[in-house]
Amino acid sequence: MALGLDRDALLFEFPDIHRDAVLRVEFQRTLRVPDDGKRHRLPPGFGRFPLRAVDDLDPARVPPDWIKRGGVAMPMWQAEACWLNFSSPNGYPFLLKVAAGKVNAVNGKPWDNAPDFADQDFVEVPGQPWLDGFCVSKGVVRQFVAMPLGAGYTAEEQVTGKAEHGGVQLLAHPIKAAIWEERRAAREAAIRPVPFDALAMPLPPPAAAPAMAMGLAPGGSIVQEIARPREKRDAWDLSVRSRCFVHLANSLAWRAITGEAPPTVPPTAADYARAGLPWFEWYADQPAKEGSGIVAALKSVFALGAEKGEAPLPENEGFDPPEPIRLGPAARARLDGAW
Amino acid sequence: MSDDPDLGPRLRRARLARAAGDARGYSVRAVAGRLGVSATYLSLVERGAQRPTEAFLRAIAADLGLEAEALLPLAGRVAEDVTAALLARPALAEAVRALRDLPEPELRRTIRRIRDGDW
Repeated sequence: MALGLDRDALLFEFPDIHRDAVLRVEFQRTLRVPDDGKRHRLPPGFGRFPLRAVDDLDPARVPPDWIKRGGVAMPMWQAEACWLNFSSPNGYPFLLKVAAGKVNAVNGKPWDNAPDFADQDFVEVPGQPWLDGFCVSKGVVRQFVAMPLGAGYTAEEQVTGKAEHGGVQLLAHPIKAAIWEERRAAREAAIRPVPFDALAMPLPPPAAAPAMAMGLAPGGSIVQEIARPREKRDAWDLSVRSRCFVHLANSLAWRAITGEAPPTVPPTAADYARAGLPWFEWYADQPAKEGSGIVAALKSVFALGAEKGEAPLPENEGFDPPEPIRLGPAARARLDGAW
Repeated sequence: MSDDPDLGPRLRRARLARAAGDARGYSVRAVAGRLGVSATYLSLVERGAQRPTEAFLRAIAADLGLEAEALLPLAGRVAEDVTAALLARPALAEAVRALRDLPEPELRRTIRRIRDGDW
């Protein structure tokens, strides 16, 4: 197993298990949807956030706990949003756990390396193409919004009361190689040509931190389903895993840390909508997971700011939603690089 | 796109391919204007009569959607950071020779390994 970085995408590779076992994860820049109590459609992707290996950075310029945790670093502006883009180029199935500040984004519980099969705390790829936020109820997530660690807004601070970790945590397990081989053989034996999507999903039955460190807080609501698992628990190869800690650095500090300019501030949702640009909607063919009571009880950045008498979200202006563009799993990143 | 061995024709062909969809936006004058060079300079580069700088190559690569790293050697340029790395660690030149014939997928695997630490 190995973790690599390929042009700002994380590659979880398991060449010892199977050569097809490659999982890609990238972080997409996007709009912050208004934190206004409405449920918004999927915002677009503006291209990948830059990712830099912690070991490539000047140790004098990064906090010691980054070096201890390893992984990669990524810049975000305060109140900037992101979504995660998952793909398996060969269709090889993966179980992927995602957490922010070591709070699981799918079920809201504190981080544990072991997957929780009783109270689903992972996504399957292929199956779940994107994750835009913390799963709060069936079909609704609260957008991942970057806030300074220590200010009280992050999911981590709201759940644990501590500003200890920040960042994003990822852990992947591949499916057992024998299962993948069996499916490949069955596929090759089939006479009729099979569309690529079907190849990718071969099972028909649905089944006190430094000031520059950031964490993810729950922002506005987005309509997005977390697909329930298709694979059986014993299909996963739990003897191997690959993990990555993604440190979030305030974009203001990015140049000092890396010597590179951070990406520009994204447009506001209202400006974007005024320009007549598209929003998206995706219909999954799998049943959706129920949300997490833990995350649902968290306060959104806007709500918590109002309680504290602060205005943490600039330009939280609402807008009239246009008709969304309906998508299959592959198409959402089409605005890549357009901004 | 099959690769021209020479830089100038390669840039010209890439520009003309873009111009087929947007003649005005990808004229010599328009591209030169975006890159902050004169039309004469761009023409000279396209004809192979001028050896462009690294900064220009990176800018035109971005404008035409080409891979800058592949263009630099065609101009006889080594990226500044690569030069700096070689100066700091001369053994890297040997590493490049050793990896020269490695198939692409394996090369990718060697590109960057991320360490998972304690968390």
